[in-house]
Amino acid sequence: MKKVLAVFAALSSFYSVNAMAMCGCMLPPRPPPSMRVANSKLTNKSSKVIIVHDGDRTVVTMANDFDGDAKSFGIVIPVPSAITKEQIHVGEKTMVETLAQATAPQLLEYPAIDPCMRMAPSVAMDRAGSGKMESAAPGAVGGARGPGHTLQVTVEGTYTVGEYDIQILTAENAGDLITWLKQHDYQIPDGAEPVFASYLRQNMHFFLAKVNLKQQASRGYTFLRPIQIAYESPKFMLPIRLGMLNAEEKDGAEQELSVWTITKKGRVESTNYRTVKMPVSQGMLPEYVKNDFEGVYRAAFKNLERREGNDVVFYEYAGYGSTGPIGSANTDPETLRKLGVWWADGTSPAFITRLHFTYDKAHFPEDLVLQETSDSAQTQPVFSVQDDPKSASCMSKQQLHDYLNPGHAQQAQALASLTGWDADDIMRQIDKGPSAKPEETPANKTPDGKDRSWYQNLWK
Amino acid sequence: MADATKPKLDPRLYQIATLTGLLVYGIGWLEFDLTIARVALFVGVALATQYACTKIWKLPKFDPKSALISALSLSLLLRTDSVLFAALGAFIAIASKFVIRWKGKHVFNPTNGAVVAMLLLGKGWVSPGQWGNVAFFGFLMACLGGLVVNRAARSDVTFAFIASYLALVFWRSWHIGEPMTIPIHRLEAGGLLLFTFFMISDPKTTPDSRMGRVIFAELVAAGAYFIQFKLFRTNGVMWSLGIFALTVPVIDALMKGERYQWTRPQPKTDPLPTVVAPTPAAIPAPALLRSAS
Repeated sequence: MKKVLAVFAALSSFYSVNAMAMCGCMLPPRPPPSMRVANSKLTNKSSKVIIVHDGDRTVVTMANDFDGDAKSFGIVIPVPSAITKEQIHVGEKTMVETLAQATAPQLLEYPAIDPCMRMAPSVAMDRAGSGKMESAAPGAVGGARGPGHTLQVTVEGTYTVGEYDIQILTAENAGDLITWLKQHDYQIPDGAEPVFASYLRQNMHFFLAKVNLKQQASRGYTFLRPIQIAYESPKFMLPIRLGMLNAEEKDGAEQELSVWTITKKGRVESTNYRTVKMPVSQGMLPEYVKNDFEGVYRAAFKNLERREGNDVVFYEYAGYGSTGPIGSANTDPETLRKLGVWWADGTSPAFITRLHFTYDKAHFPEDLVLQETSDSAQTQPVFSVQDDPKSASCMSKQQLHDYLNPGHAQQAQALASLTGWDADDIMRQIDKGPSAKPEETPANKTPDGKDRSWYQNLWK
Repeated sequence: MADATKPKLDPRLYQIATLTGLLVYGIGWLEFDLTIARVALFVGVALATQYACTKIWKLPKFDPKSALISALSLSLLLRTDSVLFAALGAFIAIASKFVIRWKGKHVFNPTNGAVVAMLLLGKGWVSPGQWGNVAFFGFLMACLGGLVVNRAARSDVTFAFIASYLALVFWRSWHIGEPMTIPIHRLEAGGLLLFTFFMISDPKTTPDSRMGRVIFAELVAAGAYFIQFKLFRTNGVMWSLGIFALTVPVIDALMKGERYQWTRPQPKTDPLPTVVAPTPAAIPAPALLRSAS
């Protein structure tokens, strides 16, 4: 009996991250955890922008995850000056994926500990997928013919770069600009005129891109590659106001954005909105989290947004981009150079900050202004799961279940505080076994996340 | 003889309480990039520096309240990775009061001077967005309450600054055609409120004359606007105050003849000559001021 209790005491201590055998028994060394990073399913709902900035120089990369007909693709973005052809480049999709993987949240999976003190076989490393990225590009396109008259719009440049037809525009007034855009098959939502007008009065120009179908076919691409622009401007900012017009069209849906900034010194944050660090869970999470780590992470993100308010920017990663597990994506100088890091020769460091937020007009009235701090502390959300032993030679199934229960309760609490899900629901999921799927809408919540009332639960 | 209009408690205690409350809120609720240990470091170094300087300059009394206010303000504002530079910041804040002086007044607001020094060294940063907009009204109440307690002693600087800055920010948005939600959002920044009510209002580093103070406030507002919206740099108010602090001696020299607003009789125990007497809200000047007479 004493021996069993001693074993129990020792092994229950394994349910904390810093596992130490406290009982003084001779126990086998704990096998190291396997690690994987969140795959690209994590960011498939958000638009992706990469900004490389130092001094007055900036390189912006827009990853177009447009999944529809290439004919209907079009983007319009404000730029601080007229852009020449040499300042435009079409990059590779893989470089964006590499960056996303190198800065993704990590999941550590601790192998199961046999409660009967035999070494558990180590769990094979989990797959790190790279799924298809599917978010909509900012700025939809459709047909809209305007009246014909002399429009005070100056086309400052017309180029074909890669598979894109690019034009740089400026205008005397926003009305003419919008008419011109509509005449050229750009679908401009209502309410855009004041936004365009305010950019024009700040002496901004407009960068337009559409797909040149012939070029695309001749190059053999079926997806759209990222567009990159290099320019000089003291402004370090992210113009989001145009993007919000699209959001309003979709019945108030929010726009979601993942921004990577690459700078020389340290972490980047917003100066006109609160920037908050994504927290790491304080304890072990249930094993079934590994079945949908990306889904759980997104739930955690949404929960944090609810708690902190919808007018907050979150940073999910700060570091040098090569802290992933061995064999995963790492940002080598060549990838960095492709992303626009002009100093990537291995001597000056390239500090990467990954920001993530959802925005709408009500909570984000202004364009995001960014600043680089000298904070070079590295941070990355890391979550841990503890695998359960599937069976135990010295215990019955029921005994094993009871033995694991206190640990499960702790894990359920950790997951509940992270995601806002109900701890009892989580316990029920845990009891279903390790192949359970993390639920986004647990049984006692309605699909929009509200608690079900007592009478709804009565007759469900 | 007790002055009937003199507040019973030193108003700096209210300021200390407010700053402490804001720190608790920031660390506990807003997840500032700040630890209690760091706050303790700022306070410790500031008090130690004040003590050392008191001894070196042979002041009659060690007064920790001003140093404590500077340390708490620094905790709210200055972020740095390095313990050494945090300590250096607190040291610069206090030491500059003793070392950088002109005709009996120290030139730089201690917290502002330390922040600007750290920004110039590239070793520290300020996060203007750290407050968000949630606590706007709470802030406003705390700041206005401070004014009440201080009996509007130096509120002319505060109001002149915020009126000028407000006008500039609204004018810009109107001129560009941005919706009014944008300047409102800009003015709701907690950091701006703190600057307006607790930093620029420092009576020890603002001009002596009312007209001088109003001009000074307008210069700082214009400078902040220029830095923020023409040069597109951040922390415009910090830089602007640091730069225009250098003009205060000039303003004082040019507007020497102006009547001061100080109308309250001096408490008998005050050892300082009347011409540079501080307001009750002020940080009492070191006895060094007496050497002028």
